[in-house]
Amino acid sequence: MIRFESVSKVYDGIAVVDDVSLTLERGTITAVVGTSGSGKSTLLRMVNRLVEPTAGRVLLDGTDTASVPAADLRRRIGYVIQDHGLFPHWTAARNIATVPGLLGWPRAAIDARVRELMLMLQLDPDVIGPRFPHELSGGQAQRVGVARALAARPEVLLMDEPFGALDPVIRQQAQTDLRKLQQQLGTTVMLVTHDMAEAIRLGDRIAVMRAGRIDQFAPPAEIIAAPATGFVADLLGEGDRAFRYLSLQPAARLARPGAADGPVLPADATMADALAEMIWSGRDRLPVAGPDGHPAGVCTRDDLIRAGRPG
Amino acid sequence: MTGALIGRLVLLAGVLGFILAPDSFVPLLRPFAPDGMPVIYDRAGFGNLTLWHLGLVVAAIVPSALLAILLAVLVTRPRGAEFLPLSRALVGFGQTFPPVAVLALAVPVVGFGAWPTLIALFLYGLLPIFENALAGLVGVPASVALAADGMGMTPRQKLWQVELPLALPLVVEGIRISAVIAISTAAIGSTVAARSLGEVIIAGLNANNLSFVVQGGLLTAGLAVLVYDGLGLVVAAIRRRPR
Amino acid sequence: MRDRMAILLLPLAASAVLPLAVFRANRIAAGQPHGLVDTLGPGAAGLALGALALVIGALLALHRPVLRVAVAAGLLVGLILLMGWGAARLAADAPPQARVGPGTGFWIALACAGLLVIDGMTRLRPGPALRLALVALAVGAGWLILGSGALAQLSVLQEYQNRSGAFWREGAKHLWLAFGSFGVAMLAGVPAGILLTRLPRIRPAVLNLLTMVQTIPSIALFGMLIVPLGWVAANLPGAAALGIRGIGMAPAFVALFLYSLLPIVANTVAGLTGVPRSVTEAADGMGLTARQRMLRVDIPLALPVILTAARIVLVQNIGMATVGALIGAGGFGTFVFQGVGQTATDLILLGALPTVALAFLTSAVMDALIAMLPGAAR
Repeated sequence: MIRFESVSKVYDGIAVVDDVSLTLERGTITAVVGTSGSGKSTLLRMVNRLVEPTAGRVLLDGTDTASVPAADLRRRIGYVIQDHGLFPHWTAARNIATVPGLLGWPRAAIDARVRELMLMLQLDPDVIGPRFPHELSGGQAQRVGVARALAARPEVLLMDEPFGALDPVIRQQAQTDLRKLQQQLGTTVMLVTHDMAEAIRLGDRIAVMRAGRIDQFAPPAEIIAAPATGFVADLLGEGDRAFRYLSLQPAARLARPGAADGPVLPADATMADALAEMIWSGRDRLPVAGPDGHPAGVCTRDDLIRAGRPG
Repeated sequence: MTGALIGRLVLLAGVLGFILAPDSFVPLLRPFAPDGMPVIYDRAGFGNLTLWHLGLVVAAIVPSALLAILLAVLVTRPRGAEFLPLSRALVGFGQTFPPVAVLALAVPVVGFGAWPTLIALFLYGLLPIFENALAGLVGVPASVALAADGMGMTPRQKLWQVELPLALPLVVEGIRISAVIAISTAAIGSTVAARSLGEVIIAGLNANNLSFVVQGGLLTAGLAVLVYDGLGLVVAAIRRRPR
Repeated sequence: MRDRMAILLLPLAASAVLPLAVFRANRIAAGQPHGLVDTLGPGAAGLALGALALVIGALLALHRPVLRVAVAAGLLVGLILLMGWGAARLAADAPPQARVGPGTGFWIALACAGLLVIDGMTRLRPGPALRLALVALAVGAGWLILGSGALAQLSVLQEYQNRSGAFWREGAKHLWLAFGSFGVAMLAGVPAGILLTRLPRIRPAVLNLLTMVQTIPSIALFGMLIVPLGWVAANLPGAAALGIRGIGMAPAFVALFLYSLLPIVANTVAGLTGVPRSVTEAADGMGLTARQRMLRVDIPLALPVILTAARIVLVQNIGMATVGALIGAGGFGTFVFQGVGQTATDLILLGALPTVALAFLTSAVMDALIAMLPGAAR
């Protein structure tokens, strides 16, 4: 659990982070969204003390981070940055081994851990391991960066625009992979991004930051349903709010008894998927699969359209 | 590639051949020597002079490099950051100072011999190495430096494991520039009675014996080119195998 | 001054107890150090100490770089004038062949003042026009002080007075060697660089050759050039009449020319090939002919890089021209090597000081000019 208590950071009389209080629950992903200069990266860096707060304190599982030596604290916290920041003079494997090395793990344990992580992130240890960062593709470098951050089994992972340098196709895959990885490991993730779509896709909760303050801190559905300020609404964008809202809800929730023709919608499909399928196949009723994969009911167009408007 | 290799080997063979058996070059050099004058410089052995010449360069450049790297590290730490602009300006200023002037001004302070040359080589050698080490340390990408801090490296670990290894190719490049200047200045050092290959050229100029000038000149030039080339190979090797 | 530069004030204060002047019975005799009181007399020494305390106090109290530079520059000028006055005072009761030169205390104080000026300037970051004005001001001030005779009793200027004719003659040779060879190298090097951008195949070979030339120690190249130039003088009709001879100016000029080529050619190539592709494509797209593009787009954009080479070459030439004295080419190096031969520090300084001043001025002026180019980054 990460807890910010009335945290501020002042540079030259300007409060970059202004009296922020925030609690990030254990085992969740919290996405901090904001425009550049909103103070979101500064907030993130106060967790591992790359930035020291001017006022207030940051607690990690109840312990004041200021009471732990910075280097020890950082070795317990995973950190992923935008341009991956891989050490160019070290191989991918040695990059991943950085923190276990600093912690003085035995050689064999480090090697085993590097291998395990590379396999977990779909990197072939024998092929990618000995490569230098400049020999890696953007997606590979990003995954090596994540592996490096996870090497010493941190309970908290800080990610500063981790997908910023990836092209859209790879980015989507990387986001899906991250979500899976987080669910598998149960790591507490704090992710900073300027992309609201990314925050909605990944965040269990979203904190919207503007000028050093938190405008809204809520689950994605609530952010879309009831933007607290005009700024939040602007970040969401006017055009596709309904689709975003639909994309957060499972279609199965709308299932009512009955039957319909055509291919069955999978159980994990969202309402957005259902609407898209309807438009594309020219139907106004779709069969929806239950948890067992068999049709459990139908979903109608009218229900979908009603569900797309919160309230 | 092979052409360069052959060139190197020929040059090396020529320099070594002259050092070991200068007399075999008499037929080539005789036209330059005035009648009745010796063709080959005979007041000291060429091996001896070459070793002195290189010895002066190494004895000056090694401490020069150590100090220059230390200074570059100091002004790139947070505590020394205040001296960074000044040290940059000073290096720029220092390089407008001709090496010969440093050499000549050291004579009144320490007298004739190897010392003024060593002092001049040491002082002048600082500048390119400091400049390059600074460029290397400042040039560490911000994301890499941030990652090192974020991983929990102490400042010392960051310096030894990340910053210095990344700056190394530029540092060696600086040493290469300093070494070439040092070879040149050490040759002039023979005007203040330091032992070096320059003494052959000076003797030739004083006695109007062009044979001495040519053999001393060729040998000094060959030495400089070989050292420059050799250190270039070191730089290339470091860059190829980043570690 | 709450910052760490205050550390410079320690040696500055300490310089007051070190010898201000060195007295020699004649120009090559061993020197006797003279302290502040000895040199200036008790009254003036007290005043000087008071002024120094005031300056140190002002530097500690003042934070604005402008004021600090002003105080430090004042200290610099004051020190030099004080030295001149002290030298005159000591020389007054000494035989005419006696010499008074600056001592360690003076040099340390001068270095501290100079560092404070440079530090203040790096904080002020004056624009190029202001920098040129400051250079002009410094030259003007130097001229006034030297011309006023305030320093006439200083040993370096005594050396100058004994050979003022030779000084200006060698100075002219020095300028001709350094700037003349640079001019010829520009005339040859820039077109060669332009040509090389069209001939990428032979480019590495040519640049490697020029790098090798640059690696050859100066004294070796100066010496070895005597052979071909001697041959030209003896065998080419009219060459000797043009002043080409085996020793002297000609080999030095050619050597400096050869050393100049690498920076000029390499930077011309780098400047031209560094023009962004988007810019050249836009120029082609707008229908500029190859010649128009070269003159209106490529060369103007490459100019800062080429002029940077010019600065490097000029500073290098001014320094290396001193070596020319060893092969009879003249220049300020003549005094340096004569001074070394006689162990006469003042004579060495008479050659070294103008060389350093010339290199420094040239570098400052060239830097300002490059910064003044349209679109140049400061």
